[in-house]
Amino acid sequence: MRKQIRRITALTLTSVMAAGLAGSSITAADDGAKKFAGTTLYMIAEQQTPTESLKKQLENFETMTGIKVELEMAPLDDVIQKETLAFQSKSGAYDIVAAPYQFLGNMVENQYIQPLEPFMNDESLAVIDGYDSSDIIEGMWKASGEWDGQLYGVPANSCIMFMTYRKDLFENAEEQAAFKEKYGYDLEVPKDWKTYRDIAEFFTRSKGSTLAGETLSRDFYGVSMMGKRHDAVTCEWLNYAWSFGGGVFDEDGNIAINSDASVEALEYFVDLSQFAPPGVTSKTWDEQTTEIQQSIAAMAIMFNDCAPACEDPDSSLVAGKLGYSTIPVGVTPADHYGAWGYYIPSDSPNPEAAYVFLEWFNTPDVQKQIALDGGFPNLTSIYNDPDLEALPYWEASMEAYEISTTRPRIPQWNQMNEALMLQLSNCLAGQETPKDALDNAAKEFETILEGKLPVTYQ
Amino acid sequence: MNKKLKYGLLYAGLTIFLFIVLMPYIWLILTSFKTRVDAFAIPPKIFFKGTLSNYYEAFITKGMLHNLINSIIVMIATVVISMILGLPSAYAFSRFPSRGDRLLSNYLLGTRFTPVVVLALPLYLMMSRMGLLNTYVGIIIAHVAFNLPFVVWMMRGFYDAIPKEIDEAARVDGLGWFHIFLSIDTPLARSGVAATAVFCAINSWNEFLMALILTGRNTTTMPVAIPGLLTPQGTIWGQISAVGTVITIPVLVFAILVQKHMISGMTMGAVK
Amino acid sequence: MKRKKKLSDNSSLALRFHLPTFITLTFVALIPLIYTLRLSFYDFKLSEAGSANRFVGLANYIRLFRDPDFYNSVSKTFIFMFFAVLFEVIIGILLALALNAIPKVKKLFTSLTLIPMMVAPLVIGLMYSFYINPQFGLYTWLVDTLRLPLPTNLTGDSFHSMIIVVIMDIWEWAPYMGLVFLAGLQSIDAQCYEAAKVDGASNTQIFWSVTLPLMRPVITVAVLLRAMETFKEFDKPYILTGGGPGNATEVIDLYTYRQAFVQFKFSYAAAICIILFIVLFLCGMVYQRVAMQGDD
Repeated sequence: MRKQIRRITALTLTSVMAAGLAGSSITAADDGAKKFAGTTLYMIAEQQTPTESLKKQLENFETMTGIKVELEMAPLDDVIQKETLAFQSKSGAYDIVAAPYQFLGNMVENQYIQPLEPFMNDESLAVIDGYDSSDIIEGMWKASGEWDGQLYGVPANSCIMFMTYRKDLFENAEEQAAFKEKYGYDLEVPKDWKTYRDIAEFFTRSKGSTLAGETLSRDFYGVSMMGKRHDAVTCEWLNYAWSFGGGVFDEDGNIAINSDASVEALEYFVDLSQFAPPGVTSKTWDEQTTEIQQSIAAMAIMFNDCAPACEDPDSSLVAGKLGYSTIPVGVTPADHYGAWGYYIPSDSPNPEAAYVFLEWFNTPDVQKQIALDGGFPNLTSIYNDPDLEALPYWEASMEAYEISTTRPRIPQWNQMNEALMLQLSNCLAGQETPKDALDNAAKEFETILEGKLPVTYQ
Repeated sequence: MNKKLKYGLLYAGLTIFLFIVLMPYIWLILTSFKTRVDAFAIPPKIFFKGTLSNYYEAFITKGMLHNLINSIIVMIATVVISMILGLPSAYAFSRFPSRGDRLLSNYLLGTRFTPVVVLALPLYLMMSRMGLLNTYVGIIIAHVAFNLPFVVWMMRGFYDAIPKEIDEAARVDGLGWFHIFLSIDTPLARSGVAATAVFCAINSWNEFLMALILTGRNTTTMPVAIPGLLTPQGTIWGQISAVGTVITIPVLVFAILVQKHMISGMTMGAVK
Repeated sequence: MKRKKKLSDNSSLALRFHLPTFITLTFVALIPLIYTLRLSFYDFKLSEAGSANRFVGLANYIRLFRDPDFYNSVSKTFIFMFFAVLFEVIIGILLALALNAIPKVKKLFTSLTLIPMMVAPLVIGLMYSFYINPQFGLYTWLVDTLRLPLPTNLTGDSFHSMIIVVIMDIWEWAPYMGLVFLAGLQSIDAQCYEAAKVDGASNTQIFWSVTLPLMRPVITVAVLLRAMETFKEFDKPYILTGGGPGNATEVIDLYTYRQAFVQFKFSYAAAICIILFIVLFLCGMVYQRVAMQGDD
C-alpha cells in the first residue's frame, strides 16, 4: 500500500515538474546551467553506435554546463564486469553507469544504484533547457528505469528485435513464380513460423546456382542466426519461445523454460539453423550484421540497431535492398525489447551533476542526433520527426516497439542467462536434444531461484 | 642424392612451410590497409588500392594512441622494476650459494608457473580494497609479480656464465661485492640483461587477462582495448588488423635484436 | 667441511641480495595466495551481500569435485595439452632438422620463424577468427577454390572447435620448439655423428639412434615447459570461441575466469585456483629436477 502511494506521488510530481519546466525553463537555464561547472563525471557504456554518437555530443554538454564527461566504452561483457566489480568495491569509480535493463532488479536489490526521485523533485537541478520528462516514452522508461514503483534510471540505446529480409529477392518475379510452384502459395513477407521456414529453405542455394537471375559466386542462405554461447543466443531464441507460447516463466511465475511450447520453439530453432550459414554457434549480432551486409543470407531476426549498418553503402552491399517487418507470430506476437538504462551508482561522488547529465541526454537535440547516427530515441516527439520517418527501418521499428516483449529483470537473471546460453549453444552444436537442454536449464533455474518461486514481479 | 638438389628441396620446403605458417599474419597486415569492402571481397584481393584510414580511425579518431601510450608506460615500468629487484637476487643465486637456496628457488618456481588467473583473483580483490584499481601502479604490480621470478631465473644462468676468477681478482683489489655486482659482472652480462629485459617487455606488452581486470578508463592497455572494436553493429576488421599490426611490430624488432639469447631465455636456462 | 663453512659465510651476504626480490614476491604473490586459500573456505559471492564472512569449511572443494563442468574443463585442458604439445614437438623437430641442415641464410629463416610467438595471443585469436571465417575468410576461400579436402566450418561443432584451438597453439609455439631443438642439435658433438658414419649407419639410423637420444633431455625440458604453459591457455580461446560451442573448448583458465569474473563466485573460483596452484607447483618441482639435473 505504501509503495502504491509513493508511486502515485512520484508520477504526479513528475508531471507537475514537467508542467513547471515548460514555463520556467529559460530562466532556470540562465542562472543554473553552470552550477556544476568544473565537475568531471565518469561514465561507462557499451561500445556501440548510439554510444559513439553520444560521445561526439559530449562537447556540447560541456559548453552548456561546464561539466566534463569522461566516457569509457567497452564490449558488453566487460562493461558488466567492470560495473559489478566497481559496485562491489564501493570505489565511487563511476557517476553514470549503463546497463541492460535485465540487470535492474539486481542493481536495485543490492543497492548499487540510487533512486532518481530526490533529484527529480529538486527544482534547483532543473537547469537543462528543453528537457521535458513527459516526452520520454512511458513504456521504455518503465522497462529500463522502474523497479517496485521507484524510478532508478532513464532508457538508453533502446532497440528491439524485428525481421530483416531481402526485399529485392522477395519482389523478384522469377523467384516469386518459382516459390509459388514449389510451395503452392505466394512469396510474401512471412507472418507465421511455417512460412518463415519455407522461405528460409527456398532461398538456401549453393554456389553456382542462380539467385534472382544472377549466378552465385558463393553459397547463399535463407536465414542468419546467432548461436554463440553469449547473450545473443538468448536474445534471439526468446522471440521464438514467447511466440510459440513458452518463455522463462509462465503466468503464475513458475518456470516454463522446459514447457512443451518452449521445447517446440527450440526444436524449431535448431531445425531452422540448417538454413543458416555454417558456424551458427560462433555467431552473435556482429556476425549476423556482416552476413546481411555481405549478401550471404536472405532473412534474419535481428536487433533494429543493426539495421543502420546494413543500410550504410560504405560497408553494405545490400543498402536499399532490405525490407523490415515484425517477427513472425506463433501463438502470440513477440518482439524482444532490448535496451540499456543509464543509472547513477549509490557511491557516485557527483550524483546531482550526473542527474543533470541524464536530463540533457533526454533533450530532443541529443536524441535526434543519436537517431540520425543510427540509434533509437527515447522521446515521443522524435519518433514522428519527418527526417527519421524517412529511414527504411523506422516504420517496422515502431510496430515492433508497440509489441515489446521484455526479459525478466530479477536479480538472478544474469546467472540464469549464463546457464541458459550454455544449454542453447550446446543444443545447437548437437550435443543435447532440445528437451534435455531445456530440462537442464530448468534444473539450474530451480537451484538459482531456490525459495524465490513463484516469481511474481519481473 | 645430389647435394645441390637436396639443398634446393630443403630451401623450397622451408619457404613453403613458412609461407603457409605466416599466411594468416600476412593477411592481417594486408587487411589493415584495405577498405571495408575490399576486406570482405570474394575472391580475396591481393592487389588493391591501399589506405591508411584504418590506422587513422583506430589510433586518432578512436583514441587508441592513448592505449598505446599506456602499454608503453606499463611495459617500461615493469621492466625497470623487475630488473632492479631481480638482478641482485639472480646474482646471489649464482655467486653466494647458501642453505636457503633450495627453498628460495621453490618459492620462485611456485610463482613462475602459477596461471595468471590464480593471481588475478586475489590481486583484484586486494587492489580494490587499496584503491589501486584503474591505476598504473596496480597493473604494474601485477606484471612485476609474474616477471620478477622470470628475471631471477633467467639472469642466474647468464651470471653463471661469467667466470668467477674475475670476481676474485676484484676482491683482491679490495672491491666490495655490491660494487663488483654493479660495475663488473652486470656489465659483462649485458647481452643477457638485454635479452631478459626484452622478455619482460614482451610478457608485459602482450599480457591480456590481468590488464582486463585491473585497468580501466585511463589505464587500459592495447590488448584490452582491441576487443572494443568488436561492436554489436559489426566487427571493424580493418581497424583490428591495423592495431594488431602495430602491436606486434615493436615486439618483433626487439626479438630480432636479441635473437641469439632468445632460446636460453625461453627455456629459462635449461638449454644453453 | 670446507664447503659448509663457505656456505655459512655467504648467508648474510646472500640474504641482502635476495631481500628485495623476496619481500616483493611475498607481497605480490605469497600473500595473495594465502588470501585465496582463506577465501576458498568461505562462501563469498558477489551477488549476495554479506556472503563474504560465511565460513563453509571445505564445502567449495567438495562441490568442486562433484561439478561436471569442472571435470569437463579439466578434460578439455588435458586434450588440448596432449595434442598441442605432441604436434609442437613433431613439427619442432622437423623444423630444427631443416634449419640445421641449410648452409646459408639461416639467420633470415630463423628470424621469420620467430614471428608467430611474438604476436600477442589475443591478436592470434582475432587473426584466426578472420582467417577461418566460414563466409569471407581467406582460408575458406582457398579450401573452396583449390577444392582441398578440408573442413571449412571450424567453429561450428565441438570437434573442429577443439582442433582450431589446438592449431592456434601449435601455430604460436611449434616454431619456438623448432628453435629450442635447433639449439639442442647444435650442441651435439660432431664426433658422435662421425662415429656413427664410420660404423656405416644411414641418415635415418643416425637420427633414431644418435640424434634423438642425445636430444632427449632438451625435448623433455621443452615438453614439460610447454605442458605447464598450456595450463595458462586463456587469450586465444577466449576471443575465438569463448569456450564454446557449449563448453567444448572451455579450458581450465577460462572456466576459472568465468566462475570468478562472470558469475562472481569468488570463493568457488578460489578453490579452483588453489587446486590449480598445487598441481602446477608439483609439475614445477618435476621440471626443476629434470631441467637442472646437470647443473649442480
